[in-house]
Amino acid sequence: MIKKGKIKIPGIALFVIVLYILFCFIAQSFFSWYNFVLILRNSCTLLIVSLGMTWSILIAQTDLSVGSVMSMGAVMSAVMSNAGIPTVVIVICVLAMGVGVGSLNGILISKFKFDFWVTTFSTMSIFAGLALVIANGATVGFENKFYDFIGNATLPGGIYWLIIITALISGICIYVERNTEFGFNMFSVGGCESAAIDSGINVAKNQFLVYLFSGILSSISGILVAGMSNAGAPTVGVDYTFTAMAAVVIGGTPFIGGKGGIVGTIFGTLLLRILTSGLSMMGIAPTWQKAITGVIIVSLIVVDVVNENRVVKNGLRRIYTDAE
Amino acid sequence: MYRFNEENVILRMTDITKRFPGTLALDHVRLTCEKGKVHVLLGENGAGKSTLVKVVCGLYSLDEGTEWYDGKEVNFSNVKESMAAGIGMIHQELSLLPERTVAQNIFAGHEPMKRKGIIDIKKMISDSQAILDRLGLDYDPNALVKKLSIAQQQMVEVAKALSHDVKLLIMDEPTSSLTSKEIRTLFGIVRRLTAEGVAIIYISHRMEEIQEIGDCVTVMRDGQYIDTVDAKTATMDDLIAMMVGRKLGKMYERNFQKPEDIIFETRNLAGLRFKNVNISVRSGEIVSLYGLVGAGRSEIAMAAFGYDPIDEGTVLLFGKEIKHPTPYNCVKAGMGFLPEDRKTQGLHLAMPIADNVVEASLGKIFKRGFLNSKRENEIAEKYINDLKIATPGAEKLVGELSGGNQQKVVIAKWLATGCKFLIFDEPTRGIDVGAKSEIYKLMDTLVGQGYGILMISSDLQEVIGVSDRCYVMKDGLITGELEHQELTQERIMQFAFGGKGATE
Amino acid sequence: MQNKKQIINLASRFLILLILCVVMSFLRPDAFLTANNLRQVLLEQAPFTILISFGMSLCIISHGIDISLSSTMVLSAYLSANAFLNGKYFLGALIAIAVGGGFGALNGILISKIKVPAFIATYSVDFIALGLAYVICDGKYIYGFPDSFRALVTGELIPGLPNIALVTIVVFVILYVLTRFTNYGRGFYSIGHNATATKLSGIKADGIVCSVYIIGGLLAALTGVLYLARLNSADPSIRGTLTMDSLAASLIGGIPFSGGTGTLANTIAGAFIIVVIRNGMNILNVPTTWNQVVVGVVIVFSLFYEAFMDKMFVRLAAKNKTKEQAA
Repeated sequence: MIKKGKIKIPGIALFVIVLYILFCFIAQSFFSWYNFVLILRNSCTLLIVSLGMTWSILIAQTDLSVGSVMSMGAVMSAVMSNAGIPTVVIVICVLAMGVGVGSLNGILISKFKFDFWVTTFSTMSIFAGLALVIANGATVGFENKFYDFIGNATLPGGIYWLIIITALISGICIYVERNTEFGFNMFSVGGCESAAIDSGINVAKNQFLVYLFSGILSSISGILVAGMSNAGAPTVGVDYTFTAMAAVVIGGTPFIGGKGGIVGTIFGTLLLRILTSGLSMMGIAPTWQKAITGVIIVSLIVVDVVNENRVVKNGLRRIYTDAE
Repeated sequence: MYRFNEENVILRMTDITKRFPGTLALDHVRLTCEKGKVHVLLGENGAGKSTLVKVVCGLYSLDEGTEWYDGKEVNFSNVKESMAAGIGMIHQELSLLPERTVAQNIFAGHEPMKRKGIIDIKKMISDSQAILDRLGLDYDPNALVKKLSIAQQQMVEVAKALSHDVKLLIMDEPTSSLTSKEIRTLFGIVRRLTAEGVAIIYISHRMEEIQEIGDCVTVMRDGQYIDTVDAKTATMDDLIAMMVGRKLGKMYERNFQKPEDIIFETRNLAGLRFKNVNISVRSGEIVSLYGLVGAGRSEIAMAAFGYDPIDEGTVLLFGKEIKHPTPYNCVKAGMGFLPEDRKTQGLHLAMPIADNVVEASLGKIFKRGFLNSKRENEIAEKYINDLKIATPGAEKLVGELSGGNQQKVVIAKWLATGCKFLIFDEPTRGIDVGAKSEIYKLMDTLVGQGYGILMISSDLQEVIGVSDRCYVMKDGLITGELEHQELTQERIMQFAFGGKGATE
Repeated sequence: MQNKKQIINLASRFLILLILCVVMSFLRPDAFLTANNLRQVLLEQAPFTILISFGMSLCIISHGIDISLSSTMVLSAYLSANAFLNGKYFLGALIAIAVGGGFGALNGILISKIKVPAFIATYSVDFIALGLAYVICDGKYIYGFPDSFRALVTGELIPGLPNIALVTIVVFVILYVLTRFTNYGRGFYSIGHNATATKLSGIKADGIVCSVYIIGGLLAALTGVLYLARLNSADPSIRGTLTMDSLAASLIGGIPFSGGTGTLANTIAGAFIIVVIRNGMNILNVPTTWNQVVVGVVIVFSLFYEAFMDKMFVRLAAKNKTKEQAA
């Protein structure tokens, strides 16, 4: 990590910058203000989803349902808008859905002690299905001033309001992560659950809150994506779960949890989106893009897991008898 | 008998009795602590020291007796209550968060708040700095704990305990991971604390420390209170005598014979937590490996058996070197291993006795690869009879048996393999007396048939009664080797506590 | 007690299946309870789910999981399609085996040697396999397989029993014997109970774990080839909700997610339950968009059911113990 005063710039930031410069050389049209803003814009929905995912991985678990909650949010927005329901009500309903799914995950995992993989895998399936049901199996187009605004409106100069909203939400989340009891507890629970219990931390409550926030944030992302395309596609979130996982892990929050955080995830998200944009500019077909990105993501995840395992093993390796 | 200054007393435990299923862990124990004094608790493994302090801080409840603390009688139901009353505890095992800073670790779970839910980070750091200063440590509160050495981490544990308002501090083996230089620093901290009037309970088995840092010493043995003496005037011999002075029963009937060839040998073995280990076991003898908790004994066994990695050295079985030890190779070469924790390492509690018994010999029993439950049950029945395992049948789940019977199933498993060299790690821990003597008899029979047994034990009586020879370990090194006739409690303890190899 | 518990567990699952069938017969006897429908569902459709579920179940019993089976299936199908199309059956089989075994080995090595947690490893491999499948498919549409090939599924070596059902039965027998009656199978169950104790008994646990994933991959490849024969085309949509279905089938069939117990008979019971539910939804004209929801709910239900059964057995065991002590 590079420390500049109080702000730690994660090493991943270097990667991002290097990759960006690399692509600038490879593809001429990459280096432009327009493209830069576009990359930021395309990172927004992934980032919001990854914020919640960051925290669930931070506590050494994973919320697989984030993509489905996002799809639900998008589809609900479209369908309800077409039904003439006032926008305020729509937003409240979508957020309530996020709260509902998050709470469901939270209760099953923290209270009933169900395995988090199977539980979030099930909720992922259930709500992906519900999104399909609500949308009747097809993408639902809609027109809504508010949605269109947050998704597509720009400030003079070309900065999208979307980017600003995303930055705001991220900022709030960073504050919560770094300054609240909830935030600190996440690091303790993820770092060593038994030590957290010994310190008197209510682990179950912390786990519940993490899933709650994950659900809320994913539903917000659904609203944003619906705004961006003026449509609610029931399968929009299908790849988001895996990509969000990747953004988090690449950004420096390992699967065993206990360290990292949202700042790293921001860079992880940028890295992935720069990669996609760059490959696209190089003229590589979308299916190959997916394959290449997939292999890179998988390799980085594997490298992370291997690295963490090695650190744990070496930590145990202290010869008892010390200095001679 | 040590005289306490009654005006200064902050803790008085009287007639403390604590029972666990099957054992009397504490039997009318007493403990008195004065403000500003260091009270050392001394005793063998299983003497009850940890149990006693856990009762003091509310981790365990007391069955009988009274705890009088800071002016009134108390009965803590959990650690939070005792913490709030000013009792702090530093456990033997570090429980820090390596990826968090010193300050974050010190205040984990009870950070100073600005408002509801919002942490006052500035105050947390300044408070941490204050505690570090109070302890005379110059660590940066913003340093990551994983960057600190083990010794420094131990100090952070002390700081953590002091982040609560502490009047009585319990330190459980605080120097087990430290070198002499680091121990100096810790002692400096202890002196500062006592100067401030903090009472300290200090559990340790290191003789040199007791005299240096202690004011008085209480010796416990088998859950009983023996005596409290002045730390400065007591001698090592006195203390050891108090720790071990009990009569050996008639539990250990051994037919000692002249052992034959060497069947197991390690040369310069080094690995996780041990090095320079040269031990050997011959056919026909029981060799013990004695040491206190943390000495590194089980680690040697795990490495020799191929489960843990080896850094240096070689393992030879029946004269041949085992090139890349894995449990599979070792079993094939004729080595069996009964692990320390039979429930989580040695058995499948949810599987029947028969399944467990044949597990390590499947290839030998069923050569064509197909199981045969009739044969399995026959074999299991044979061992059930031979070892007198108390069970209605071979299909009973192992988890439903008593400790002694469970251990017999583990033994049966390894007998079924035909391995002639066996490592028994704490074979009689948690087992009733009757089953214990049966196991000793069995071990005697086995070596009579030419087996060689390496027994890892922290039970002094057992070691003295059963072994042909005994290696003693301390802090990862073999500090002594004793022949049967030399085996006395005092000599073993000398090697285990503060004998050769201790001076640095 | 143990065997009794297993039998009761299995029986209760078949009871659930029976209840489902009764309900369906009640609702739409004309459509559900016909010989044609039952035959189609149980003998022609169910085998696909059953085969993949076998792979999933084996992983769950050994305390792991395999999310990549459906994608491996699609990839095997695609890569071997051309060979089968041109009558080169041996080559096709070889390719399918190589793909299935290869991806299975990839999972196995990641999980047993490199110690990547099973879900992460197979989730990632799933992504790769599916991505590769799409790249290779590239919109091409393969169809028109020779009749002799199709007979693999549709033919009837035993009159009345579709070949695919026969294949499934044979696979079941082989795997059941392997896991219940061999040394390998004993090691396999031990790992599911307690991997540490198994290793310390001298059993090569890593090898067994790796082989479980290879078997899964081979089963996936087999299923892929069978799909080619059934649908007479290579279509990525066959992946469908197979992952969820196989997971649901294993869990509702009575295999606890914590592993160590359960047999492939449980898997068959569970697979039948899932397939009957699907068939039921189909007959009742429930839109296919509800499929995923229902399967997800089934999984959550089976988690609750498992917890309930555990509590029941704990109470039963306590009662037995006091009886023993009193006696």
